[in-house]
Amino acid sequence: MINYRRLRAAPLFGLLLFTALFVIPVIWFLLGAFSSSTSSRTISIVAVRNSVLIGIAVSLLSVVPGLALGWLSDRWVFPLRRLITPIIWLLFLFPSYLLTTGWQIVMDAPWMRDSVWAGYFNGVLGIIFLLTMKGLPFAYFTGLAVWRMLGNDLFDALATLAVPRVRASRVIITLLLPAAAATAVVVFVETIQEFGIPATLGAAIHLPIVTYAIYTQLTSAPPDFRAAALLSLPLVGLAVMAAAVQALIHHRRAVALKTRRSKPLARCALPQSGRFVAALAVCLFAIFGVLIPLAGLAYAAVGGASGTAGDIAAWSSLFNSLCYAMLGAALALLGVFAIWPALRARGTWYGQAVDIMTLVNMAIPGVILGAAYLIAFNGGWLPLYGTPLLLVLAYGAAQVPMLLRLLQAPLSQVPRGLHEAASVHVANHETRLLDVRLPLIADPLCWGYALAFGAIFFELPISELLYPPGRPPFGVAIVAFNQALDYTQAARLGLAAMGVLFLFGAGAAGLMHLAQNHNRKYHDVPVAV
Amino acid sequence: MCLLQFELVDKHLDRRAVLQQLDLSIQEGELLVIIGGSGAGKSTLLRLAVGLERVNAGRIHLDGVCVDSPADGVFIPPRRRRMGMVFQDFALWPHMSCLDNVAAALPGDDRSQAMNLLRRLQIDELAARRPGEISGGQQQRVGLARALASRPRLLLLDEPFSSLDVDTTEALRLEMLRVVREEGITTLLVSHDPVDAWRLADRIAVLEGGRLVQCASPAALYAQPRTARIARFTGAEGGLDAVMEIRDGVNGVRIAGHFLPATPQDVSNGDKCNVYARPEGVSINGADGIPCELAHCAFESGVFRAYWSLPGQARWLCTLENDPPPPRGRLYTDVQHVFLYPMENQT
Repeated sequence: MINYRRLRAAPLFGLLLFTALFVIPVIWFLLGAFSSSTSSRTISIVAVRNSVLIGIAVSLLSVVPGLALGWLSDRWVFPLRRLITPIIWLLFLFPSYLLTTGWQIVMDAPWMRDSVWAGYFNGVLGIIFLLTMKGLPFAYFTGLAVWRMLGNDLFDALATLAVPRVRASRVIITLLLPAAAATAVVVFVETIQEFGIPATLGAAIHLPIVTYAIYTQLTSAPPDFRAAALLSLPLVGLAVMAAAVQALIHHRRAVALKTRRSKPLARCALPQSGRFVAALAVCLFAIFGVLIPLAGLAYAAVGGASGTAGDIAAWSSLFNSLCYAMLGAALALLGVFAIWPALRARGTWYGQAVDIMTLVNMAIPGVILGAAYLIAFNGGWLPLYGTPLLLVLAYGAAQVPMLLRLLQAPLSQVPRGLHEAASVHVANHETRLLDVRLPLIADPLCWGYALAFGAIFFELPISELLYPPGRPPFGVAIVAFNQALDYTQAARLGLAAMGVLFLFGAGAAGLMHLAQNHNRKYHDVPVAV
Repeated sequence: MCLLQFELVDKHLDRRAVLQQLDLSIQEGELLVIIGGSGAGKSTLLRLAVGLERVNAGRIHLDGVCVDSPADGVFIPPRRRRMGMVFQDFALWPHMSCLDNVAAALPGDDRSQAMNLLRRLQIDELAARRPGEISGGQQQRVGLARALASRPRLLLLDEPFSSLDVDTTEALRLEMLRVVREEGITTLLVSHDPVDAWRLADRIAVLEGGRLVQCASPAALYAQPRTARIARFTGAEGGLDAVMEIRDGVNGVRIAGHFLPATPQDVSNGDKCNVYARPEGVSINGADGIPCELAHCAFESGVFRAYWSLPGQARWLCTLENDPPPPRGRLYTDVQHVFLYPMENQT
């Protein structure tokens, strides 16, 4: 029986908000697959098949290098080790459509255009290669966490007890299996939901991939919503299924990892031969993951590649993106605050409902959320389609599940007593909020805002589907340049966007630093009595 | 005059009863210590008093005013109850200096008054430092200063010494007592350490499984511990298995053919029971006592704590000896220090 007395207004509001802005539009869109209207076009099962096969291939290709990089970074000392993390982060933040554009520029260079490598790149192998590069950061982060959880004790115990090498290897592989499976599943889901690479290289080589196929159904004249919904169902179903498989594997096999405490480890120096191989691996990773595409973009930007005359209006897309990202990230944070009480109310039905819904919604790719908003707000009671407000709203809603999960741990780690002490001792509402509660959670909030900002700034599928006419975000402009083979403009815009983001990040970090110093000075002034 | 009163209070957490039918009152100016094992409901009681949790049934009155009663739809939030609380893990705001931690709890952010409070607790030289830069004992002093800042009607202390070392605990215990007595503040202290109760309490309330089993002055509690757990809390040891009997109008038990006079608590003639005895009521001199063997002996602060094994018993009784005890002896007991309780599951 529902205990209505335990129901509080704040969690209920959070639950309703999340349902209204996320659950209902998505379900409405997906249910369109079962509508009676007949599709004007045939549904491309090939796109689904391609996505699944590419997803499997990319998962398999990413897991071993990801775990190996995590192992090298966590356990060993060798030249260039410190480069691994920055490269991984750079690759993680590199928008996939810019990565693709960089490689396309290189492969389009006169000395490469007719080579066998360009042939491979402009095909399914190129797609797999690029997606593997984008999947590596996920595999690395998961791998690193696993190696840290394993700790040194296990290896020390195996060495001390003189366990035979074969049996020791079996023990370690058994412990790593759940992690490898989890990594593969994460990479698989990320791969099948990826939009930037299918929208650029995929479109260029006419390889049907499900995310771009959904987009095509919605943007071709006339749009076919039922076909888009039909294509979305397997995408969501695969992600949910993959998450369930991961949970099952984790539940069955991860006891040893779960119960271990992580502690800092002392790294050992790699033997001479190993050092060379490890350094070479890091070099190759840096070159293929970041340096070549960046060099390609730089080469094209200075006018080395073919291209048409620049469109000055496209540069305003940078300013548009900046505004959208600032507003969208703020909206996402507000959403997190609204939903947080419901998520915190563990043990209640509405707490569990929000927990499950936010988990499931992480399996909803941007293209589906964009399509859902396109339908839900296209006329009817709230005709917001084509307005900046809807775009910002969609950006915010897309970031909320990720932000909730990201902020859950740091916000929960603030000791409960600190908030309770404020409730007991500080009578003034303003002091309680501004001087005590907000500073306690300021750091995670700033990080959350920065991440949401970055994600929205480089966002593509929602932008493509919902941008207001005449005010496109820069991702849309870049893909338009890319599809028109105007790499010079695409590269210039992309590099400028990276510069703007860097300046924005540096400025924000500087402001935070100043604010912290000011706060410290204010609080540290001794009082004369 | 009664300052705080719990009236048939029930509290459930995750469908588990944490407090049941709690009836307890605290008089003005009194220092009441709540003791009990883990999960007894001590901290929940404190959180209900301050308003960090709400009761499921019953009422809480503060200074004659109902502050929490679900039946009447009444709940006064913590900030309006004018209470001070010292938290187990200090709960000082880490981004503020010690001075600001105290000043934030004062009306009008009065920093000079905050400084006075720090001076009173002899930590004024730490005013500009942040909590992370000072020791645990110093943090607890800042916590006490913050709790006193709003001139509370009731001071609540949640296991305030549990995170501190022995020396700091002893010093801070007396310091806290001095401040509380000087200010005349009614105080409710929760602890699992018997020493806190003996050193500080005007009255001791004992919680077991969410129920109040005894509330009395330390002397009364010592004289008539109502449960085996309270007997252990007063220093009793044992838990010997026996059957109660009455001989010549005297209550007691028979162990190894010898009659042992004892004070029964909720045990009747013929009932199976457990025997607990305090070391100060057990001796091993003479020829007519129960034969016993020395099982273990520990030198403890100037005396020998000797553990005696009795025939047919798995558990031991203790004596305190000035000299090293002999390997065998005959054991005598003083009825005032021997108690019988209903048989419990022993582990």
